[in-house]
Amino acid sequence: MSLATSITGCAKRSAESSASPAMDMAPGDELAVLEQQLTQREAQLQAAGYRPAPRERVSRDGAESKPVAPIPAVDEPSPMAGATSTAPAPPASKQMEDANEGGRCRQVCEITTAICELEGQICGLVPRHPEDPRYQAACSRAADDCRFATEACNACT
Amino acid sequence: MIGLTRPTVANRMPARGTWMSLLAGVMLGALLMLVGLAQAGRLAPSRPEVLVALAQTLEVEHQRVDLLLAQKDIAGAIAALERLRGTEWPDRAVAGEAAEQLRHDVYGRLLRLRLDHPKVDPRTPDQLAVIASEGLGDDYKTLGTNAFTARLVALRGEVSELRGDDEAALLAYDEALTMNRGLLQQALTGAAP
Repeated sequence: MSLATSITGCAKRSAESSASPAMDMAPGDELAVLEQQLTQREAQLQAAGYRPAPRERVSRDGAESKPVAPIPAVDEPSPMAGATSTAPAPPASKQMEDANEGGRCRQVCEITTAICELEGQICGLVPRHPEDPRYQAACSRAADDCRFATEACNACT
Repeated sequence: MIGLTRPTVANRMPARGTWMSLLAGVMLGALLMLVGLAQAGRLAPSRPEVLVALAQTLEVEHQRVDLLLAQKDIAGAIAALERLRGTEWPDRAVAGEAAEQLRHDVYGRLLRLRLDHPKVDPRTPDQLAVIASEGLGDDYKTLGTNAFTARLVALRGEVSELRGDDEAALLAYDEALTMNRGLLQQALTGAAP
């Protein structure tokens, strides 16, 4: 979930703001709806005393309609997940606990990905600086971090 | 009585002075703490409505960028994010740390796209470095540890590599690694990121 989404999720939203473009809309229509929403949002920002970015039409490569994937949904566990299951539902508190644990594990594993990517980037510098021990030391530290984070991610999931 | 009173009064005068000094010291300390916290953006934003308006604007713009990317319109997505560079970003005192994190999110996304698609509306490595510095701002190091700043710092490392400055790249990667280490600790201990 993006930070913007989490912040706006906390704010009381007007009816129009919660309306998302319909999934079966043509891409051009979806863009038009979003641009309309954007204009409204920017007006709010301006009313709050801040200048939004200057408006200009975004140049698009090829305006013809193409099959388009739906706008990515916020990747939160759906409250409806498993609703059709015939198995007895666990207590709400247990479900919430599991969701929190799942969210935490996802977070741990996302951070692990970032750490291990950094390890790759740091260690990628080493061959260019074989004479400088700082690069090798940083690479070793990063490798330790990646190993620890990976273990944490594996233990969590 | 006078003899008793005088020493008593005399004794109380320094005591009152001590208390006054102590009180003044406490008040000064509290004031400095509040100023420090406000400068660090750790207090609630003074104008939360600005943060909400900004976040709502960016949420829609991110959706639009998602849609443009789904249409393989990389140039359009980059242009949309470039346009956001012209936003008048509220400072920390007004909208809190979250406003800066939102900026780091936008600039991080822009730089990622530019690095992944160097032939689309090309920029020189030096121009990319300007984008990274502009996005991070001067005092990003005083922000609480967060994933958006960590990502932008790591991207600055990539830009430094492109410029042939491995020294700066190593520093940036190491800094981003330290931030991510902190984030991992927070996640493992269940502390808020």
